[in-house]
Amino acid sequence: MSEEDPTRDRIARLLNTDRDALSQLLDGVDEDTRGALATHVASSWESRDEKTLKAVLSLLGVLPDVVSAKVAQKRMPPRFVARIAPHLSEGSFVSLVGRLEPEFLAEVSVWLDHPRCREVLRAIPQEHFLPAARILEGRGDWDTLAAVGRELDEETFAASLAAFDREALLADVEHRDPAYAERVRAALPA
Amino acid sequence: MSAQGEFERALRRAVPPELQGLDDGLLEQLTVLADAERVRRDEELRDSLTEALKEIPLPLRGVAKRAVIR
Repeated sequence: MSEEDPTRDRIARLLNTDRDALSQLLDGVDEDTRGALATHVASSWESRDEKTLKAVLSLLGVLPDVVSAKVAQKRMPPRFVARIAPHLSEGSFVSLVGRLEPEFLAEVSVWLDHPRCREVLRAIPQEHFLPAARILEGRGDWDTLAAVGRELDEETFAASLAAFDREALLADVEHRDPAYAERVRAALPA
Repeated sequence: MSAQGEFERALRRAVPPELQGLDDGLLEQLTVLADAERVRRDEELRDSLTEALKEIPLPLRGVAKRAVIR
């Protein structure tokens, strides 16, 4: 199992590449530089994809919300929906999320570039995300849950954890991500 | 310019100050890794737009096509 390294994982998601191979490549690169590198890779993709992403957003923008959600879920891969997520307004994203099946939303969550989706992630009503979070929990995908959790403010983070068993959660994340475990303890006092 | 060239240019353009001292070889290797992803992204986009238009109800399809072309 890979050691927890959120910035490496973010770059791996952006490049859709193996994170262990990336670990070797980034060996010796300090955390600040890695962060800048991740941001630079994300903005480089954005610069290249700008025209085509605008076309997709324009398409979804002219459709009624219910049709947009149906089109996204039935005809677009989750990874693709994750790519357009940072470009949606909070209102559009919340509306879309509220209409997606939990399984699909869980997959979208895996592929989001979480730091760039901070505002929209904070805007999602927890009841909309919770079923997807349960699926991620069932898979043991703590990397994704932690990546989403990192972008939430303390109040939303605490609310997002309310449905989880505190001790089971800590037992799962303690050895992998001590910083995340510490945040869980602060949000859910014993 | 090829799509690969476009991404490479974007990756190497306006490199932020904190990356100025970064080993040039690292950026080169990241660009190579990105090449495979670029192909997947292009396929994904083309397929998604084609499939999305099929899913749109007929009365809305004209508006949708114009939105994509605009």
